[in-house]
This record gives sequence, C-alpha cells and structure tokens, in this order.
Amino acid sequence: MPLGAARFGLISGVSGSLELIQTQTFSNQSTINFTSSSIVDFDVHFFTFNHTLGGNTPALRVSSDGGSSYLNNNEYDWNYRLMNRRTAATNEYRSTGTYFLPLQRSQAYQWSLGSNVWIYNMNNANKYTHFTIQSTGADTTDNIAHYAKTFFGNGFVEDKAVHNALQLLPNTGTLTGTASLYGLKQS
Amino acid sequence: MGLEIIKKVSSTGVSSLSVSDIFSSTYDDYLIQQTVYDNASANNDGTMRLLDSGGSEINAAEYYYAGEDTRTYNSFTESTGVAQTSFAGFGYQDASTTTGVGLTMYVFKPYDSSLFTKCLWQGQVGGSGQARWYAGSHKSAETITGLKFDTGSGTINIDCIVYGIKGT
Repeated sequence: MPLGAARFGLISGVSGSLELIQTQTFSNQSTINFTSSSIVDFDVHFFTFNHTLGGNTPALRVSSDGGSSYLNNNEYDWNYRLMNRRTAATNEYRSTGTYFLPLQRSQAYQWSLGSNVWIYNMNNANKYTHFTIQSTGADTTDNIAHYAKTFFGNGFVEDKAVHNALQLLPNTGTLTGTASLYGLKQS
Repeated sequence: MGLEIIKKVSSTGVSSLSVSDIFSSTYDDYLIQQTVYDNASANNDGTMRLLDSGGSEINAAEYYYAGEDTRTYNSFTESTGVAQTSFAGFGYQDASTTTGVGLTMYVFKPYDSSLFTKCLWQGQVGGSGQARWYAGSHKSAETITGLKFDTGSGTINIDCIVYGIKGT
C-alpha cells in the first residue's frame, strides 16, 4: 500500500474522495514523470514518496504542457524547517529562483525518506500552484550524525497557469523508491 | 473507507466565514482544506474559532497553540498562544492579491464531549511566500459542531472544504 494510503484508510477497491491517479516504482531513475490526463480532473492533489536510497535532494517540478517540458527558471518559491534528532538543531531554509521545490535536505549517506505533499490549485489558471510538505528521513546505516530528521516545507509556483504534469527528480544522480499521486474530489 | 466530503462553502467580500454543522458522530476525525483566500481589502492575518453544540462561536480564552510562521523573504517566527480567544496562524494575504492559497487542517474528535478538540494545520497562505505550521488545543471538553474563520482585518474571498476521515 503506498505511503499515505493507510493514513486515510484507503484499501484497494474501496472508493472515497481521494482517488489514486498513478503509482510508480522506480530504481536508479533520474526523473519520474506523472502525466496522466486525469490530473486536470482535480484541483487538489496528494503526493506520497518513499525514497529508499539517498545521497541527493528529491524535489518536484510542474509542467504546463502535459510533460513536454517542466518549469525550471525562477518560478519556485519555497521555505522549510528542518529538525535534526541528534543535534536537536533546527534550521530554516528559504529561496526563490531556479531551484525546484525540495522534499528533504540533501544527504551523503544511505537515506530512507517518507514524504507526503498536498498540492493545491494545479488546475486553476488564475491561481498559483501551492505546496505543503511533511517528510521524515533516517540514515539506514545508523550513522548517529544523521540518524533522523523531520521536515516541514511550503512553497508555491509563481506561474498562474494550469499545471497538468508533475515531475519528481533529484538535484543530482538518481532516485530509487515509490511515488503515488492522488486527486482529491471537491464535490 | 477514506475521505468523504461533508461540505464545501465559499464566500466573497466577507470578514469571516462560518462553517456550521460539519462535525457529528458519523466521523471521529476531519480533514479541512482552503484553496482560496484572495482579494483582501487590507493586509490581514487570519484566525479561527470553534462553534459549540448550539452553533455559537466560542470566544472564551480557551485556545492554546504553538507554531511557526515561515516565509521566503525573511526569517521565520515562532508563535505560541496561551489562553487566547482564538487560534492564530490561518490565512494571510496582502491587499488586492489573488494568488490562491493551500492550507490543510486535521481536526481530531471535535464531537466528543469528553475531550479537548485538537487541531493540526499547515499552509502556504499567500502574501508572497508566507506559510505556517501549527498545532493547537481547545482547552474545554465539549461538543464542537463547526468552525469560523476570521480575517482579523478587512474582507476577503474565501473557501473551505470539509472531509470526514472514515475509519471503518
């Protein structure tokens, strides 16, 4: 069962307001694209991501042309709070510019990560697309310097357009894991 | 099982939005979202109150919360409230801005008269990069049936969508 599905009690064959659009399982892949035509059937989406092998920063981009290209130039505006278990330190990060919206901080170790993301107004050409993110990660080698981290992030895409495709990608290298995209019905 | 929609309301040019008769014995917990908080008549910083069993707004000093205002353009600010008359940290919007917003709130067991009502909310709430993540408790064990958003200043276009989280 994809991460997040259990949170809302979703079981295969049982419907509700949250509808699965697509699940992808991938290994050593540089980009993972969600281009289903049903993305535009919803204004609000729920995205879950289970990353099983790390060393990079996973992130999201959106497309306004069905996935032929993804916005990557000064449209992303984000901020997040990162908390570290071992050091008890918290750090704030914020940026605008060419960087895409991160789901977690880059790590140089084997890194297991679970994220859930709410995405708002993708199908509204008069609003920005907004994101809220919660993630937690753990070093799979039990390296105490990076044992566990918690992440609360927010952001928006400074582009008033219908965004009809979503891309998951790392800042460098590849990703291995599972990701699911859901649509949330509003009526 | 899953999320089941209970009510969607929206209004334009208002200083507050009451969302009544949304909590019941049908569900234990709820997911509430907001995607519109636009066209403010003035810069504002929104709050939220709960509605009691008779649908009346609870304005007693019974709201406790902690959270953080995060933003892209400046340092983050921690925020706490003890015995306040409302929860803080909801919609924020600059005047005459139409960016839309994205806010999700979980409300836990509001209809149970023996428990405090607890809430978790996180949102990218507009105003050029303003965001929040908060948790709060209404420190009075009573039946809660709804909620009310308030801009704090001026009017706004606003929406609210309420889902029940169906466990069985």
